[in-house]
Amino acid sequence: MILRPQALDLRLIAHFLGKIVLAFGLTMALPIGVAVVFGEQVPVIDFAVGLLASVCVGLALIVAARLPGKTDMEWAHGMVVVAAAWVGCMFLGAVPLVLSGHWGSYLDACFEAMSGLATTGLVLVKDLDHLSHAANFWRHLLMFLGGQGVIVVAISLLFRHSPGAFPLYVGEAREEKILPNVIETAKFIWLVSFVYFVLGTALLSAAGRFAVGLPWKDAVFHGVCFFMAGFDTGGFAPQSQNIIFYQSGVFEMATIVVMVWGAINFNLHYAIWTGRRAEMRRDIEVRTFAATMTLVAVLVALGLAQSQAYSGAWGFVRRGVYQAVSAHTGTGFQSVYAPELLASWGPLAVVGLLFAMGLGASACSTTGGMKLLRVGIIAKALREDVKRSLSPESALVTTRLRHLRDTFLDDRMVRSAALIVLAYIILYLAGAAAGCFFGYDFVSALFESTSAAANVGLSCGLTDPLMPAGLKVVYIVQMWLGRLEFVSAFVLIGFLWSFLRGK
Amino acid sequence: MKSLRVGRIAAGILFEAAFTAALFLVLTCVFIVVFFVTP
Repeated sequence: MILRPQALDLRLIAHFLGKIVLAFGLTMALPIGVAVVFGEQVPVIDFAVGLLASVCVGLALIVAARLPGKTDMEWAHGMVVVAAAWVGCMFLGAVPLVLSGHWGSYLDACFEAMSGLATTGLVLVKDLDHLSHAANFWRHLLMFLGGQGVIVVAISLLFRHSPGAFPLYVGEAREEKILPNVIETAKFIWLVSFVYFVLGTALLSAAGRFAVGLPWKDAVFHGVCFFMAGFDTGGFAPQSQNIIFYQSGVFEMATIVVMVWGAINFNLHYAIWTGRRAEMRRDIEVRTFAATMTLVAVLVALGLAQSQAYSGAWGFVRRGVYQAVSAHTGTGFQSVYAPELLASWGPLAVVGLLFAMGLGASACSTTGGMKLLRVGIIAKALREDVKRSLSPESALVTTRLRHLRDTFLDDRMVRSAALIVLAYIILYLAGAAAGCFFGYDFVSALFESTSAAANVGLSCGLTDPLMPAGLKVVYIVQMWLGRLEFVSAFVLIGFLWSFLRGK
Repeated sequence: MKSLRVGRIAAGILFEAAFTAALFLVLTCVFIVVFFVTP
């Protein structure tokens, strides 16, 4: 029997949801600052409206909840809050975007906001090159907030006690705590991000100034934007031609460095930063990454050679390496024009990119997709099964794996990894089926669907303001499900169902 | 467990930079080999 949620459940959810929306709304003060720096007046009003709307919604939820004293949150509450918060932040984050007039509809602005928050990078903006600095900064800030985790932002700003925060943290597809206390974990994530923000922005600004020739003010603005989009493996760019605009191998190399930083597990950053550098060699995720990245490189290289897309070695290596890293880290920076990917790269190279996008990078990082930890676990389980088949029946076959500490592979671990991987494959195919339903060919539909669901952002040209509204909604749902890794989204759907049909 | 110190963080960042450089070199080699080996 399904039980209908009680009033206290709703009040608890409303209270924490209100806190998250409030924290999210306060971040809109940053683009207001950018508007002031660049002397833009209208965007100040747009973001003031967005900020006011978020604060009103957040406070209204907290006041309406009237939570009696300290009430402990259960896992289900945490999951529902997280899944609902991501939808709420999308609707509120889209307000200043649609007010700017650069998006055809509120749906398009919601698409862009979810694409930013989920660190996907698919775009529906019109005339990006004339978008205000403030709105452009907000698109990239959405990526930064989403990559760190909307919940991590809220925990850092508004939570003082760890027990209430832990279910929220886990609900946001972060199963691993770095430090015993979840608030300390959130602080460490910010420490890594802040250190790399300083280094990455300096590197990209210098590349923009000296290699591309941008004026200092523009170089720093582009550096900040590219850092946020690269470190959080998002893929937005401050102008319409993405990385192609810069025509600079040096700038591309600087973004590769930032993408790799973002694709590393925060736990591994912690291990390395505390002197345990051997973990980089021993960790199952890094080993899986080395194997899959090499495989992707071979597939893409063979595909490019087969299709003869580039006659010179420089173009061949530069474009190939860049797109392979961009796809596998889940970033989606694009150094070739969208229609060129399917038209001239050859089927094998496209398979390589699809494979890279679908897998994603590390767990507990800013990337999306299946995650290398799960892929590594499944590979180990397969190896164990083969070993067991070849051993005498009485032999005890065990498999050890190293992920920050030694553990033995067990069935529960394999089942959990296999279920999520299966869910991702279904999501990729479901999106492809939706694309075919709206009249696109299968390869384009599968490419764009995988890109959306794995939160990558590489596009073959299908994502466009003129694409059907139904497909935009499908991609929004895919981005949301892919970023939250299903569980909390399914708990929210179950919660709504029990609210309607429970007894 | 060792704690975070500025020196250790700096060494960690350099180590991660070296890892990225090694990855970049390996990928570049793969592409160069394929470019020159395939007919």
